[in-house]
Amino acid sequence: MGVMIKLCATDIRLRLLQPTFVLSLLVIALATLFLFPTLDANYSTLTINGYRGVYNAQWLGSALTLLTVLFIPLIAFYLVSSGISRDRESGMGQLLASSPVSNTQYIITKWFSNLLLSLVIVLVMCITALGFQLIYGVTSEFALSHYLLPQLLWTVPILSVVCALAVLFESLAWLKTELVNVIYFFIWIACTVYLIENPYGVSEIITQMRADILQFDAGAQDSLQIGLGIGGNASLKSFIWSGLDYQQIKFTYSLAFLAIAFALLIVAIFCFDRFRETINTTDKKTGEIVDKFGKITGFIARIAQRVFGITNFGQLIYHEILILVNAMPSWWKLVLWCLVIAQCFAKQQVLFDNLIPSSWLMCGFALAAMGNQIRASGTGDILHSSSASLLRQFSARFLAGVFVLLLTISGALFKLLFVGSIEAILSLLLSSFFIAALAILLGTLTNTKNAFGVIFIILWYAGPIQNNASLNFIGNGDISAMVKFITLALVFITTAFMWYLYRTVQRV
Amino acid sequence: MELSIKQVSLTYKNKKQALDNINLTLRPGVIGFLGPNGAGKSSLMKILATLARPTKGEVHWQGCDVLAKPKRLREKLGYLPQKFGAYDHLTPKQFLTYMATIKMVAKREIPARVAMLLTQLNLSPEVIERPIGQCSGGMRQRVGIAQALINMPQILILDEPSIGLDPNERTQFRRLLTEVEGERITLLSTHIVSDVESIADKIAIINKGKIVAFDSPQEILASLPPLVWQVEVSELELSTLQASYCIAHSERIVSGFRLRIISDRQPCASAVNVKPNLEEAYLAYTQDSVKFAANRYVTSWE
Repeated sequence: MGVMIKLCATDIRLRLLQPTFVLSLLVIALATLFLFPTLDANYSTLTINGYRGVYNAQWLGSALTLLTVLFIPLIAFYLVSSGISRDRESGMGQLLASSPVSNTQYIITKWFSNLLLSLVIVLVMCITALGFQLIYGVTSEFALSHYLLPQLLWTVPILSVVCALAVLFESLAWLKTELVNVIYFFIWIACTVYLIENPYGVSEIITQMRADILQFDAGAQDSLQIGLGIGGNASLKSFIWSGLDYQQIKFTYSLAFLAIAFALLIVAIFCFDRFRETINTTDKKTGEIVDKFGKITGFIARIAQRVFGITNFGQLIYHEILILVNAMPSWWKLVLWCLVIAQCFAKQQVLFDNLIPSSWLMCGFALAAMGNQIRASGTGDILHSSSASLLRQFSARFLAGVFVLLLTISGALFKLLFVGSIEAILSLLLSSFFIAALAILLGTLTNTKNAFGVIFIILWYAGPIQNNASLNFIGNGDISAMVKFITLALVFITTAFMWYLYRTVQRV
Repeated sequence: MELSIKQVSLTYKNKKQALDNINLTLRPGVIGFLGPNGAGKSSLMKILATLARPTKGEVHWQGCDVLAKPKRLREKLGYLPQKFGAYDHLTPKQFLTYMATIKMVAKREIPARVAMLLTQLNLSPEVIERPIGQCSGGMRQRVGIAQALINMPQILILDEPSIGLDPNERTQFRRLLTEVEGERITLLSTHIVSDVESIADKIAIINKGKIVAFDSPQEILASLPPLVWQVEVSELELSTLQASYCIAHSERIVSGFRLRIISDRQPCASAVNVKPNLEEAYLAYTQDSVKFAANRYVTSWE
């Protein structure tokens, strides 16, 4: 037990003091303030039957729980799921693997430190909400229990599952982080409805709130809006929520989640590879297919080398493309080739609705490394002691990202050129600028792959997949829709370069 | 061709002084920087590679102030850092081409230069098609040296280049350095005396951020006062001597041990004065227990 406590304490200290984690906490605290808009604000986060509670501790605590149950599983997963991979990368894992620490001890420790870190996030949100209530709320009652108790009942069990899932994914060494991000995102999408509507889940809070509203206004129309609702609601009214009646609450929900977490941990303990060196083995048939595609890729690479190699700068871009693409596994290249071929024969609607978003989702795995390559590979010293200008290196890296994006939709570009849809081609070109700029900005600012991995998938789902016009960065062939994205791309790329320049000069 | 370091000092934010008033004038040849870990070798190498700025002092390359115009030096520089990082998914050939492009080598010269270095560094055809991540430590280090040489540098800085190399690879590496030497200033920092003993034209011994000796290996040995003593002792006497003196070498013999001791005074009556080797000279200059070393901080070396 002593070993586990020490491991856990060290792990938490290392991760908690990371600047990116501290920065994330600040952003989360700031975002919490925006969860509680005024009645006349042009957005809302929680309304039930056309009402929201006045901002007392009871309402703020319960409303915060509803929102955290919905969103914290997403945020917490991406923020805490690096405990095992950190040990894997730093070499610390092999030291632990050769020590008497058992798999069970190690996995439980990682799960527990993930859980504690997630709880720090929740605690920051609760304290921010309490501060908001004391300053702007209708009461100055200092009742932290109204914030913490509902979190303990609903959020903690869910987070225990989320953290167990993070540990399970990390135990599977062959599962790439970028792929995990996508898989988890879909799990989260699939579970959100269940989390809200499950009669034993947080819907108990909604049921009690609704009952109180009906007591206050029997004629209130049945409605529910959780999450970001854009646009003001002139008829939104407020009522006084007296708080949760804990005697009515069934605890089966919490216990069920804890049982799921326990089951996931058992699977993780069995799957954990104990930092063994992985040897790539491919069966003969798969190997042959990969070889064939490898030959095609090699042939195209040789042509690309000739084309790019005309100028010295072109040659630099070509090698930056290699750095991005060579890091990806064979199956990634194989899937993208299939998508490119499919693009050649698909209708324009299918291209924009399915094939291009799919190709770019895959492409995002490679682009996530864009702003982080130098730090991850440790090439900073040799690059920065060379005579090449930083702008030249940076531009080549950015353009390499754009070319990789265009390469993965080359089938679509060919098809659109064939049907003469020049505007659609231009809109895709601008889209690729936007995505590459976002990738290099987030990579440069955070020095991690995760920031782009997470934000891109959220944007990808909210925009192109949900066909939300204001977030659809693919533009569906409409070039006018791309103006704001290209403006943003310019801002991103300038900011990223300035930060890169600042950081490089700071080093010296 | 001249690189001069004038009154260079470096103090870190935590007030630790890494370099203290370094004055050196460096001309073509191999210059070995010998010093214990933490002596300030890497800090000096970083300053010369334009990756760090001194808190005080100047560095001039061919009369041009490097701190004001680092590009002048970078154009002529090849650098292998202590921790050499490479893009593991590129092959050595791809990585060298990439580095040549970064270092603005003329496009038409790149293939020939890459091929020449791959041959010179014994990187076999099967190795050069394999990702760097799958290469052994020695192979990886050779790629590091190749990237440092790709632009035919006039200044070659190698910071602890033999770390991670086995004895065979170490010998090969020394041979390689003499082969590619040419008309350039090669700075080689290490704490292993044998790395520089046979190839360095000059050796700078650095201790606690100061240069304590700068001369040819022969001159360094010649200028050393009689500090090295040889004595044969029993096992009991060995532990007594170990507690009070710097033992440079001990060898088991039938009657006990034969020791080589570095000391300002005769350690025991039976000890006889012997000619030092470079390793012992290095210890004499860097060991706190030897009083001679403490008084050796000279301000300017040519």
